[in-house]
Parts: sequence; structure tokens; C-alpha cells
Amino acid sequence: METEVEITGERIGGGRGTGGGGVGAGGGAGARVEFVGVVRGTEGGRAISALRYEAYRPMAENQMRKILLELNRSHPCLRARVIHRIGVVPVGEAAIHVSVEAVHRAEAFALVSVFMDRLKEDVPIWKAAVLG
Amino acid sequence: MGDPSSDGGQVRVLFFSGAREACGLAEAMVACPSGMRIGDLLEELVRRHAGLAPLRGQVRLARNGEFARMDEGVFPGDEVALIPPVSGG
Repeated sequence: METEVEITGERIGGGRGTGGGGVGAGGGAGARVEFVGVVRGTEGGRAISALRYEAYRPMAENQMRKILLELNRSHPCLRARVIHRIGVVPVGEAAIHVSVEAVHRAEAFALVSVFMDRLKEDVPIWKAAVLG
Repeated sequence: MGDPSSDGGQVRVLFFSGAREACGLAEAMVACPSGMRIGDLLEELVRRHAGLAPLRGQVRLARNGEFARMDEGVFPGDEVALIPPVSGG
């Protein structure tokens, strides 16, 4: 599987991440599953204006790559791309974009879903609420 | 890494998120005597920064960018990070 992992201080979207580009790997893919994690307006019942993310950057990027390759053994896919934003991410904007291509949809859905669970356990990225 | 002559026999320790807030530091240099293990380093850090004590049971340590076991050795020139429970995504 081809992997591309990026941690960025820039806004996700507007040509970065979502859509665009041919669905890939020489026409081998039959599915592309995209997940966008968006900052919601409440955290623990309180209204917030943003989340502030920080990362232990080199380790976080390596961990994401390792997890993708590990999950690829049980959910074989063709291509995975992850962009995680750090710094202040306002409510309504994307904190993470995951895009996975596979021959069939089931593997791509599974890989995205399990990857998000593992991200929240084993990737050194933290968030803190920024109150209204 | 691992060359005591270049770093005075110390390790660089990075504190993130709750660990940074608990000790008021983003990083520190800590002496690394021969035979020191990751768990010994954590105890030394808790001795220096009492605010870290409540995190002792939750924090994981990484050595040179990989999660480390408490019984793993730590060596001069290593970079060790305190990783409180993560919350990305």
C-alpha cells in the first residue's frame, strides 16, 4: 500500500485533501473512502470556539505510517493518505482528513474506521478546548 | 546518539500536553547514569516535578520516537518524551 502522511498548520480543504485527483493506482481501485473529522461546537458539554492541537510531530507521523501499514495486513488497500491539522482549529473546520483507496469498499471502510480508533490510542497528538 | 562526550551524559526530555502543564517546562536535560532505565528516569522526573506524580500511572514514555517499556535502558544522547493520554482526530 502506498501511504502519505502529513501534519500541517494549514487549513485542510480548498483543494487539499478532499476530492480531486484520479482514483488511483493505475485504475486498480474500485472504491475511495474519505473521512473528515470536524471540530464540533461543544466539548464536554461546554460551548467552545476551537480546539488547539499539538503533536510530537516526527513520532506522530511515524506512528500513523506504522499503523496504516499494520492495518493493511488485515484490510489490504491500495493507497492511504492522512492529513492532520495542528494549532488552533475553529469550530466547523477539519482537524483530520483520511482518504483510502481499495479494490473493494469493505477493506477501505474497515481500514479508515480502525485507523481512527488507533489514532486516538497510539498517536502522540493532543487537543485542548479553546473557550468561546 | 549514544555518545556521552557530545552531550555530557545527559538525555533530552520532552514534555507534552498535561505533562508540560504539570511541570511548567517543554523540555529539560537530565543526567543519565550508566544502567539507567526508562522507569528510573520517570521516577527522577517525578522527584523533580511533584506535579507529574498524578500522571505517573497514565503517562507513556517514548525513547527516540518509539514507545518504550519501563525496563528499557536509556542512554546519553537519547530523546525521551512523556506522552500523556492522547486525543488526536
